[in-house]
Amino acid sequence: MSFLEYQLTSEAMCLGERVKKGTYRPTTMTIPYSQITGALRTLFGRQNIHATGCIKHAMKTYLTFSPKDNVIGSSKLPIITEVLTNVDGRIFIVKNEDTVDLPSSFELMIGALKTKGLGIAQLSKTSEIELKDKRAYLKHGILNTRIPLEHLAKFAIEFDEKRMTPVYGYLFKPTSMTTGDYVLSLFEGSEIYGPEFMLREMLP
Amino acid sequence: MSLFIPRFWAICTIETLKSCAEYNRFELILLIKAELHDIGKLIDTQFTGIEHNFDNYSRELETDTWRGIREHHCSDFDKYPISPDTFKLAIADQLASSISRYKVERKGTLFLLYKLWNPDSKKKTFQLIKSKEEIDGLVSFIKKDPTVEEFFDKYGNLLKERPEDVTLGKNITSLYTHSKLTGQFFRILMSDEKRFSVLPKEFNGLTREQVGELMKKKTQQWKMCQIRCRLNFSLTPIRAKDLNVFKVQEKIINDIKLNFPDNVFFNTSQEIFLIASGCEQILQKIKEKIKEHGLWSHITIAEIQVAGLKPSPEKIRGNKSGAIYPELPNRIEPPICELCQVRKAEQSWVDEESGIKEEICEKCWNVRSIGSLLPHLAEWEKSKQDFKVCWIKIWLNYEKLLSSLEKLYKEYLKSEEVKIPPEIDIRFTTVSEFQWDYEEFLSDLRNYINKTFGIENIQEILPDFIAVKITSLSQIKSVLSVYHEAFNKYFLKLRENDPPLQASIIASNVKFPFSETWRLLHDVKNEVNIHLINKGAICLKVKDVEDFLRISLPSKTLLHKIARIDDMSPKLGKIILHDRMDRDFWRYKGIREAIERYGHQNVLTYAKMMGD
Repeated sequence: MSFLEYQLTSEAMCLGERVKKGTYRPTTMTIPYSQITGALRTLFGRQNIHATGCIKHAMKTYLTFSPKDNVIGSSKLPIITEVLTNVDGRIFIVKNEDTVDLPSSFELMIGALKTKGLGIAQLSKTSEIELKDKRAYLKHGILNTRIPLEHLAKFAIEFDEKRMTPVYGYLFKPTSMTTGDYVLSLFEGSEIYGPEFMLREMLP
Repeated sequence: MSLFIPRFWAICTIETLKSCAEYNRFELILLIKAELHDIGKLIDTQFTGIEHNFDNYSRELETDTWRGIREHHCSDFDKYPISPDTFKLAIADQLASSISRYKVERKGTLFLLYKLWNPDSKKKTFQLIKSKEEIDGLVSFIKKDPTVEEFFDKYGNLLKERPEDVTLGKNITSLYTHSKLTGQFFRILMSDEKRFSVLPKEFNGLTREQVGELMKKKTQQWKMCQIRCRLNFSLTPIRAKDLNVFKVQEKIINDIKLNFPDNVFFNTSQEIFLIASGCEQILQKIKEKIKEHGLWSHITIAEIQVAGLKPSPEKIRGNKSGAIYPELPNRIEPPICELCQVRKAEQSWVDEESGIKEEICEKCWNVRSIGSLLPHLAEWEKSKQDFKVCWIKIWLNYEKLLSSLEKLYKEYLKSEEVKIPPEIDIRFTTVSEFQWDYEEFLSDLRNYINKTFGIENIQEILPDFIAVKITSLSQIKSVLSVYHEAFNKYFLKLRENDPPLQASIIASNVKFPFSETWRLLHDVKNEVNIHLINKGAICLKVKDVEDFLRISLPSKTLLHKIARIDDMSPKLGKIILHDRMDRDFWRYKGIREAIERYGHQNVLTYAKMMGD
């Protein structure tokens, strides 16, 4: 099993969660599977891409704007959006026939409010990680990203519900251009056995 | 496991009764009030010669509690346990002792309670019962077979002063805590005759030493379950009514305490620690509550022989750790609940004022629909005024607590030149003793804050979580002073020993989203963590707070100037502070010195706070 490791840098992005109270849009502090995989599939037009990521460093600021209702021509209530600035992240792409020839550096759009100029990210390949000996790379620790349960194996993650403490949540999975479901996922903070680069901290 | 019957009565199952049928006094077994077993320790033995099990005392009583008092020991005394109930009382007594009875060498006695975290709190000596009238009064009190509540009402203060064990090095828990825990352990042992089986015939013809051996054997055979449960919620609190989720969490903890009063040995507002003969009934209750309210819980369960009980189930080999979630489907069709994001949204919440519609699930709807359990917060949220709220949350880290107590205990033994055993044995009594003080500390902290800011400006969310309406950030200085004062009053000795208590203080505009505040409240990097939204953060050690608050600051105008420069460019801020050509160079002297000690960010944030 191999992964392509990319460094992600962005001046400003919002990996938006659902809007709260109609006026506040928080951002996640990690790069979920659904966001980065969706962005890569859109960019390269390939379906067999699976990626996830995490943020090493970012500052948080707030952007207030009032979306305009084009039908009635007036502005809605202002929305405060959490924005990550000076983002330094890592992306891990599962190496397969669809990803093996990905360019070593490219630009992609990710997250919310792209029309406001957010979400332009530069990706540059830093290394290829090959996981050979399971015992050597599987570490016990706390997950640092969000991955659907159905894709855990693709990232060499072992999770036993009876012995480990998960933090469950749901990630969006498109089923067509306009529809989708939410699928059960492990969120950051879950206890897992997995490759070290997926972990926020190691556990004894 | 105890059921829903009067708390302070020992519980006997049908099995108990059957197994005790041959024992002619079985009907009275129910009546031992284990909490009173050491009441004799309130008598001054040196002065009166009366031992704590009333050896050398002329009268004998007929009550079972008296029998428990007389027989509960199997060392040093002529009387020793010769019936199943007093035998279990003796084991309960051992389990509730301050430390293992066999590990610390005897090196004199001291009739002073030494609180590991605050030894100076109990310097005053107290008067034990000496006179004949008082002793007769005490015996008459036992004779009338008082309830446990009556016992604690009458002798509670003295019980809190008198150490359970006066041996130097063991005098670290009060007789009050010991009595309470003995009662709990006793009822657990009496509640399950199958697991904790001992028959009257097993005592036939046994000597005191042989009863001691039997006790050792049984505590190695019998097993108990330890359960540590930490409650969490998926809901992201956005409106004041969403903060009801804290009250729901508190209610679950209180319900568990109410249903299993004898099994709860430690709890905070988020977590609860229980011991029981088996874990099924407790787990069932927790699962029910989680399902009912849509919360989730991190659970650790460990089964261990009674002799090996310890307050850290994580350290017990073979423990099981995991999470209990309400049922989660593999897929959810949109819309998903906007608040918890783990259930399908089934209701639309429409805000009356703005008309904003929120799609939320049934559980989050229920939390909102409880009504305003936090009336001040609801009022502040609706207010048109622009003011700030200071959120204060105290965290108690259980693992750190155990290691701090261990460290403090070692220090204590060293200071008294008592030989330190290879394995330090922090037990439930010490943890419970700490919890009484912790609760008093929180109560004092709330009272201090009430006095300082006025009750109308305070919203208590949980005993360890308070919101205070403030008009300027500089008022946080008072919060810090009050916290520091309360901390020193209760946990002076913990200051130097990586304290298990951490304070999070967040100051934000009243309109600032609480979800973000809650995230920051969790961000506890140091012992005292202050976040001023859009201004910066201060991270301090408790021992530094006093000196930190004494930093000599220049005038408000200068503070404002430094803060503005720092907002624009922290680097420029640093340069200006050290620029000898600046006309205010000498006025910044206090700040420069403080920066050397506490760091640039801490001091500049403080300057911004005080300049507000």
